Amino acid sequence: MNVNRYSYLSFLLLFALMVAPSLVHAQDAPSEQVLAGEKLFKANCASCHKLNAKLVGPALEGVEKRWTDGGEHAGVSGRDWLKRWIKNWQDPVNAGNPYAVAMQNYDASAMTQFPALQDADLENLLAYILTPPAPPKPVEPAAGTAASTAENPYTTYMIWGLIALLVIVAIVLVRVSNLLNRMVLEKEGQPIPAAVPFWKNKKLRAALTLLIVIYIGNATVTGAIDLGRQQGYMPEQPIKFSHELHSGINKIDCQYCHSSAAESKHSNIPSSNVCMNCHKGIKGDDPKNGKYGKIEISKIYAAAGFNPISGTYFEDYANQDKAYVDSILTVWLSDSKVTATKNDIEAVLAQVQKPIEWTRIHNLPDHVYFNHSQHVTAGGIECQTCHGPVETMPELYQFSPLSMGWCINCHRTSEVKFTQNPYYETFQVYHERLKDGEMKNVTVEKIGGTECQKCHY
Amino acid sequence: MAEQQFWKGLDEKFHEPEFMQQAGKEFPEELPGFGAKLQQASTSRRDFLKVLGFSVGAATIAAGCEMPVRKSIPYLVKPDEITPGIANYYASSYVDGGNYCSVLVKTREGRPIKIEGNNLSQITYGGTDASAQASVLSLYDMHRPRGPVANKKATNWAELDKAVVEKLQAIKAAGGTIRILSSTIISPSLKAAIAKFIEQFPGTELVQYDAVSYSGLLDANEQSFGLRVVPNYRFEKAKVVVSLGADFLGTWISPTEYAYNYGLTRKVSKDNAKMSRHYQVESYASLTGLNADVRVPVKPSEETVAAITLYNLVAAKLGGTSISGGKLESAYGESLKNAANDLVEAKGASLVVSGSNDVNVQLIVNALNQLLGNYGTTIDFNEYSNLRQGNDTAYNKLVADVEAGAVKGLIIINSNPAYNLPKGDKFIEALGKVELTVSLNDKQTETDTLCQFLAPDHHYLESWGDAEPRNGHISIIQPTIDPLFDTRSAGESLLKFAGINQSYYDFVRENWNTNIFTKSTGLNLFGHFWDRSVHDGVFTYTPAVTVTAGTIDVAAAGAAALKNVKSGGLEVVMYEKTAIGDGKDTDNPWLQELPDPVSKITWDNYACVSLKFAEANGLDFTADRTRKSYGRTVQTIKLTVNGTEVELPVHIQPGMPDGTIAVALGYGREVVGKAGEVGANVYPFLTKYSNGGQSRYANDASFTVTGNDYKLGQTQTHFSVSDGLNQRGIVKTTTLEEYTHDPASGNHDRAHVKEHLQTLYGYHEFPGHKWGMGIDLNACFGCGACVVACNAENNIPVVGKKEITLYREMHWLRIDRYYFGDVENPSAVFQPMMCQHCENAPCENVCPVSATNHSSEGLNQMAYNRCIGTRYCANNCPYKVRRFNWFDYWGADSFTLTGALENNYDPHQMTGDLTRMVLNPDVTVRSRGVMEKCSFCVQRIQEGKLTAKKQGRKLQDGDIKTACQSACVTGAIVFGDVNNPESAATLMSNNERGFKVIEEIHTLPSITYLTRVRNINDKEQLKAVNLLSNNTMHPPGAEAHHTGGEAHGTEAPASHDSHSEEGHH
Repeated sequence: MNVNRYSYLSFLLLFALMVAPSLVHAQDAPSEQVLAGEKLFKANCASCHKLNAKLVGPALEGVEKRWTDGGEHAGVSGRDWLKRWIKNWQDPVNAGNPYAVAMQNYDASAMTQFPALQDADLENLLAYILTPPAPPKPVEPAAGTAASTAENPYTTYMIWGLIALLVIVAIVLVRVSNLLNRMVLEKEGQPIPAAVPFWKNKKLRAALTLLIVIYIGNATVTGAIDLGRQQGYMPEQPIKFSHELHSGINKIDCQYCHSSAAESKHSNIPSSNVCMNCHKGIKGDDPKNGKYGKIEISKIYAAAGFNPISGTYFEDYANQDKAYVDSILTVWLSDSKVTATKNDIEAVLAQVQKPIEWTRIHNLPDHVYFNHSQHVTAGGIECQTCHGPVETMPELYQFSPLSMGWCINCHRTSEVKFTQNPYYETFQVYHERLKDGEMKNVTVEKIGGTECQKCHY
Repeated sequence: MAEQQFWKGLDEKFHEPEFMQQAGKEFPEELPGFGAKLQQASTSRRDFLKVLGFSVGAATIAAGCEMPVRKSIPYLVKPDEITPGIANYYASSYVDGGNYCSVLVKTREGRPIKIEGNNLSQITYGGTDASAQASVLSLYDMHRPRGPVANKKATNWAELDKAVVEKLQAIKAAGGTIRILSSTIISPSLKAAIAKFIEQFPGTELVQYDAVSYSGLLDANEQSFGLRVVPNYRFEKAKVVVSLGADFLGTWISPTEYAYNYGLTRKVSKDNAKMSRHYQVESYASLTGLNADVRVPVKPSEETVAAITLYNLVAAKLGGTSISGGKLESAYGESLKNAANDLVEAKGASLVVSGSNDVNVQLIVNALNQLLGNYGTTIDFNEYSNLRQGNDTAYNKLVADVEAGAVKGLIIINSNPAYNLPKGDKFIEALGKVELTVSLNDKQTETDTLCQFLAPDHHYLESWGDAEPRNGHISIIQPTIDPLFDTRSAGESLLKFAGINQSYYDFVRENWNTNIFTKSTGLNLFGHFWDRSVHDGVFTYTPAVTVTAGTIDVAAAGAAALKNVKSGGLEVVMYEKTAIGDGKDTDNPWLQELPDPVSKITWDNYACVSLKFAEANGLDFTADRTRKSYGRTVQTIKLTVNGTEVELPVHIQPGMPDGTIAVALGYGREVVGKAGEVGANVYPFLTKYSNGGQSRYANDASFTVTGNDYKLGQTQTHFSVSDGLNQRGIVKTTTLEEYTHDPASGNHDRAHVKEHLQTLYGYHEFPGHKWGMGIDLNACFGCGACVVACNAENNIPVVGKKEITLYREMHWLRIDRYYFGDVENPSAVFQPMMCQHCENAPCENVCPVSATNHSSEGLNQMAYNRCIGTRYCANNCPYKVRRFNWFDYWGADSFTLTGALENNYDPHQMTGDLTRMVLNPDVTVRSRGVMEKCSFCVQRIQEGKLTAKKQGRKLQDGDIKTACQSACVTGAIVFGDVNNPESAATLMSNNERGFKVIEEIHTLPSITYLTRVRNINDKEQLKAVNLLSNNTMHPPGAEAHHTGGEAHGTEAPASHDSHSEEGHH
């Protein structure tokens, strides 16, 4: 009976899992007008405007209402003035629209003109601003998928069980054989050697000693080889930065931040000004996204000298009074929407006027020369090949062993772009052999990729 | 005893049996603690095991427990031009007094790590010299002044300025005299700043002087042509060069420039078998002299007579007035006749230069050049040189004024009179009488300690500035790093003293805008012009200088010159060494460890004497010749000149004239960084001519043998092999005459050797690249720039003198100097020697752990952390180019314990954090116990290949340049892919002159050398070379080729003549 009950429950669970995603999508699909507006918005407006927050320009949520409230002027409705403002903001100002006149000095930087936008485009834009579609929710990975990748523990138990069984059978057999031997000797009337207890058995002792030596030796060698290796190394970082969020969900290209990977031996950790390219606008102050966004992003502000309240950089930040900076950041974090604790605020203030000291995860010994651009640009290898599924890592860890064997194995199997890259025309012998069919492919090893002085010099 | 044709030292020359026996051993003396001693040692095996167990355990615990946590700190705002891991190059100019080199500074993540030549320069042509290469290390010198000093106490700039200005104003109010004393200033902006200062303090005068003075040359030109300048010598146009003691390839005025131009006339090819002929008359063995075709050793007092003799010989042919008195009585005097004949024949395309500081000798040389019609062809006044401007007369007057108390304020820029004044000047005591003394030196000097104020100048790599080394050639100095210490540009200090609050950058820029921009054509905006000048590093325009040649009264000059001659007794000549120069950079460990090109001695100056002199004066050189112990043990003498006594080690220098001792200047500094505390100061030996000019020789010297032994760190005969060089084709020479008839002359054995090559081992396959190098021995003059470049590029440690005496120098690249000819007057071939990257490498076969093996690109690879230090490879290397790290010289190891586990050996403070900033981050810093050697700059090869790969193109010949190649001004070294039939390296290996060193042992080296061709006609010299060509090494089969040809006709009588000559000796 019980079995039946469980299967019933699991059926329910399965059903829930299957239906749940479709429930998420069950809300109204945005209209085509809104979608077209979104496209236009992202192409033209998003660099200066956000819907729900000030960026360079004001937040656009409710902009239509504000203009309509501004009232009719010179026989043209407020809404139409807005459209004329978007095309050329000087037009309503020159015409003396009071709201436009009031808005013209909103920011020191003047708004770009968009004379090419058609009336239909403007309608689409306004439709999008009025009813923006909800952002897609990140899909939680299904609970069941993790288990399938783990190794089945039963297999291991079965193997150990089998070994134990075989050992018992062996001991029994040895004892049986001993017994039979004794019986034979007894029968033949020969003297029977005194029974030796098994712990005094010389052969057994020798065998055990050998086993222990092998075990210790193996452990020492493995331990020595593993010295300095850090596969799985996941140190705590000064900022709770999530690669999953940036790379996985927001799909930012790796090389947007790690820009030197394509040209240099080093793949850089982005400088703070690169963070600020986005985080000048994305301040993490939307409580929907949890409290950590705001606190962690504030650490960048503290390092880079950005005043999130005024939206400007502090002047002469290195010599700025720290107490003043602290006070502004404290006000910024003491936001009723975010429950930043005292410790959280202290962590941010500790970063004021200081560089961000990341803990380096991928370390190679000093005698190894590794060049990112060789692999990324010349080799065309994906970052994930060595760094693993970074886009799924909320906290980054070292995915690969970064051992010499690991390097060499890859060099043995990876093919170079032998025919695509004119550089390899130098290797005429190989081209001929490929033509004759003597060679099937050209791996990194065949062009010298496993020789000492390719990496050690 | 059979004489050898090539020899590295006297020991080899005379084939001392003990020496030859010693040479065959790995260690010249018993290793300490081995042999019988070991058996008597109280340490038992058990103790040994205990210590071993403990240290292994301790090491495991100390090293194994935890990985260090490494931080990675990104920029706050990344500068656009900096990408971590990619080097930036900035054009700048190396200027040190009158030494100039247009350079590109390689910086990594904001720190300069290497100096490269600037190809856009019309003066140094992309070449460098050893001092320019080493200048990057002096930036990180921990002994540099760290900030302003007032009365021996550290102060700040505001205080210093206030105090100095107060005193200056007080002197001005009282009508006192202010003087600025400086070495030659070639910077237009610094001169402008001085002018601003003089505006503020009228009556102030700038006095320039050079520690090694060229005043005589300048004064002579002023008298003859109305211009007190060094003219532009066009060595590239000279078919015959006669140098009267001017070491123009090593130290004379602008050696890099002259070496490039002279090199153009020395390279020969089958299609262009023409080369200049070079005569050198000199009183010590200089780098230039050993490279000359004909060398005439004379006593320093005879140099004047030689000049007059040469003048008279030429005048007799060309109808000039002759000078009475003076005819050189020398065994080599015949050479002067040949020189005169050649000069007359090459009239208008010849050049006579003189290193004398006697204005009268220089006047005679001017008259000689005028007779020969060289002005306007090989000597040009339009683009005159600014590199030497010192004035002995003005300087003497200043010193006299200071001594008389007439000078109230003295500002010293980049000079050190307290060290390099000749004996008798009471300058030092007199400095106390001066009310205000300010030093603007950038290094600590003896003079600074006597000055009230020290306002230290930037290092040139931290500073804005400019330089006009030649009229019409102006170059920029731009900073490549923020000042490391609290220093300030000398120009800015002067402006501050004059009450002008302007940064030196603004001042230089403004000066360029008002004075230099006007000379540019093509660019309308100053901003563009400035940006282009900073980018290129150089700006040139065509100046117009009118020269009016006056008549030269040679008779009077001759008489006065003869009057100036100080002969009689033992003569002592003071000279400059190529790397150390006048002693300013003496504290640079790279320069100290660079073996002197001629003597191959490091870390010392010494008394050079001829063999004859040593024998005649009972100097015992048995220890020196047999080398029974490590190092070269020589005797010391106490040398007395003008009442000054100095103890010096004695070095027998082949080529020294008899009755003469030569000693290098620039040593024996007292207030100096650690590396400079070597040798003895011989500036006090300097004397004066009648007009007060500096004279660099003295007579009536005396010496006593002290009986003390002294060890010299001489590198050349280290690693000698016992069977000598005669049977081995290590260096090959021929004469121009033979070469014109037979391009393969001197190299005939090669065909024979190649025919008989066989191997048990297989051959490697090189499917892609195969790296190879070619070295033209005709273009290598042995200056050593490449050696220092290699040091900087490959993180080669400094080991210090003690280790060098134990044969433990670490240079990957050495320049072997092989003498040949007469022991009293030899010539030399210079041969850069580094790992030959043998295709059949003897080192690879003997490595038990395969730490050295062959790559598919033809490199003999060295994997440092596979090496366990057996040193079998070094033993088996026939070229002796492998170097073993006996200690941790750079501080690479994690342990810096003292006592039993002491790893570190750092006599010259190279392991400090500051000094280590010079390290190249792309090259591993080797730790103790591993072998290393030339890698063909594999990091540059990899970089070049990667650039090509990333750009998706084939690698071009010339994309990859090794450090030694790019440092060489004459282009003696080429490097490239010998799988590419068009590459320069391939062409060299196919050249008729091309040979490989000891090719007969079938190591298949990747480096091809080109036979040295000499352009000789002097009988004495010819004999030496002919002897060579006759007897050298050739297997009998090749002899037939060789003795054929017309060249043979000239050989027999020449050798006959010289035999009879020898009878006279």
